[in-house]
Amino acid sequence: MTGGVAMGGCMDLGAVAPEMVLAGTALALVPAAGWARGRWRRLPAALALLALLAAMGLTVPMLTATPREAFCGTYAVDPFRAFYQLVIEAGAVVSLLSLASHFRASEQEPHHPVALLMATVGGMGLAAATDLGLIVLFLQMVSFPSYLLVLLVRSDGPAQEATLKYFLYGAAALAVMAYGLTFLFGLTGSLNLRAIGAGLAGADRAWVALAFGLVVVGYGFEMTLVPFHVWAPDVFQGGTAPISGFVSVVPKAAAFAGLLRLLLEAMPGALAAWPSVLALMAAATMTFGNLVALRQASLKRLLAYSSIAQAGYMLMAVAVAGRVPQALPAIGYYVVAYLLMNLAAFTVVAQVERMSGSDGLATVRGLGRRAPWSAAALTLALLSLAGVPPLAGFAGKVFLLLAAIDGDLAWLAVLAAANMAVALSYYVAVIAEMYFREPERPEGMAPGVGYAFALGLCSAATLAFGIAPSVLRGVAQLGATLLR
Amino acid sequence: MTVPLTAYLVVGALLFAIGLYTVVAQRSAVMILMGVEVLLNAIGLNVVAFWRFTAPGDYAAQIFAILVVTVGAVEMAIGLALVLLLYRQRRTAEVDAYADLKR
Repeated sequence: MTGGVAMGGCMDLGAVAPEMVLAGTALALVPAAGWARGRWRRLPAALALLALLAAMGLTVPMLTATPREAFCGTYAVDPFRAFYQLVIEAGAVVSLLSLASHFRASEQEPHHPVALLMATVGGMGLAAATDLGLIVLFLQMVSFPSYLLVLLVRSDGPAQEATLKYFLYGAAALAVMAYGLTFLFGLTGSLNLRAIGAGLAGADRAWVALAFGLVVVGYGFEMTLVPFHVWAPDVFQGGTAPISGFVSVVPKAAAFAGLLRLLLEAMPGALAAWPSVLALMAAATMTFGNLVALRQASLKRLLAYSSIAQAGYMLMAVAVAGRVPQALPAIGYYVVAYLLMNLAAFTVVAQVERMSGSDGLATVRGLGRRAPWSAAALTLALLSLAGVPPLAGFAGKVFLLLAAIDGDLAWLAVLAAANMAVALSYYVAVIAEMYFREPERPEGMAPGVGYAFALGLCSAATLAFGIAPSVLRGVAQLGATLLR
Repeated sequence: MTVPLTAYLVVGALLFAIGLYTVVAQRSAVMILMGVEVLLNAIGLNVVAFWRFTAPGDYAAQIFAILVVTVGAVEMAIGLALVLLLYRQRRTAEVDAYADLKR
């Protein structure tokens, strides 16, 4: 903010070390992906995996950092950022594992890691950005590569349609949001979130409400909140299953981090009545997602509506994040649980889809006998999504409900509990298909080391975090400290 | 004679309204892209006007404007490539032709 004079004092490359590792690898992989032939086509995915692990190693120390600003107040170094960046990196690692198996020996094999790394960097930047310009930039950076990922198989008809819808909705929603951000700048004369927070106190309420209303459109798009969710079912259904998994996890986690930072830093108190607006959106999102999910016959579409409902549960705690200190760790815990169970579910769907060429509910019929391990992993993921103890999804839902009750949103907590009960029926319906119906096809499962690793990691963590929630809860507690 | 801030904001709001209407009402993907481009120009105009009237000493807002232009360029590159690919496969760029995925 101080301009060119203090340039030397603003540079702090350590603050962006994880991002630089990933962005550098992604850039180096652009030509490498073009050259790769034969056995070497596996190399980009392996390098991307190494880069992600190195970036995670560089992010971990920031979990205990004293909150500070880098790059002239445009970038935050705080535990909050480190936590969400780790979540995003972990999501990318698991997605990469299942993508590597899915596109094994196909034309797309060397290309997907490039787009995946770019989207990951965008998401990580969004979790740390404290400047309106950077927020616009990183939101686009997480979206553009996601569009390209959905269109990875270029001749795939449904994927083309999905990408067109994703792109057009995304372009419009993010432009509307950036227009809203310009009003935050105009009202306060600053692009820095905390300076905006200080300046908005004396600003005209109507303008603040207008700006907030426009800004929510962009975040609502990324987080699939009703009424900005329209793209999600089509994109998740049209995209290849592991990519739908990635798109359902990484942009969403990044947008939650970005929205939380914006609300807590730039809109302290309850400016523009954001807690009430978000509470109403949470109620609409979870109810709509669950009711529509009840009538789905496509697994990817079912998971899409389920992920819309899950976003509603998380938003419930965001609505009280300003006044309940327990809300931030609860969201942090749930984002991790959501990542694990959603990616596990999409990985199994990927295996099924690769084997049978379809993702209809009938394709998992008798899976319990055909592929016991995958069936067990999908069962675990679905039960966790439904909130059955002792899995991570259960503990996470309890934390979210407690936060809502502490924030005097008892009506919303009751509605959420009712929603979880309704949701159980469509999750159990899939499990029943797997175990209590005769298989229609004799074949087993698409094999792959990547699938196995992804499923093993997710299932083990879902169980471990569910049985001992205090460990993850402690880390999420660390990650609740943010620059204010 | 100086033009007041309100005048810029009104033009910005008009651009925004035109862009949004184009995005919602047009059926051709190319025209929708044009609507998005108009939306981005509304953002640019707003930022530069606000910069001139509320924080003329802080050049960070100009960087914001440059970022918006950059984002627009990248968006068009991806968008036009996508429309071209779709057109080659199906011989149409009307968005209504792409409604095979279940509602």
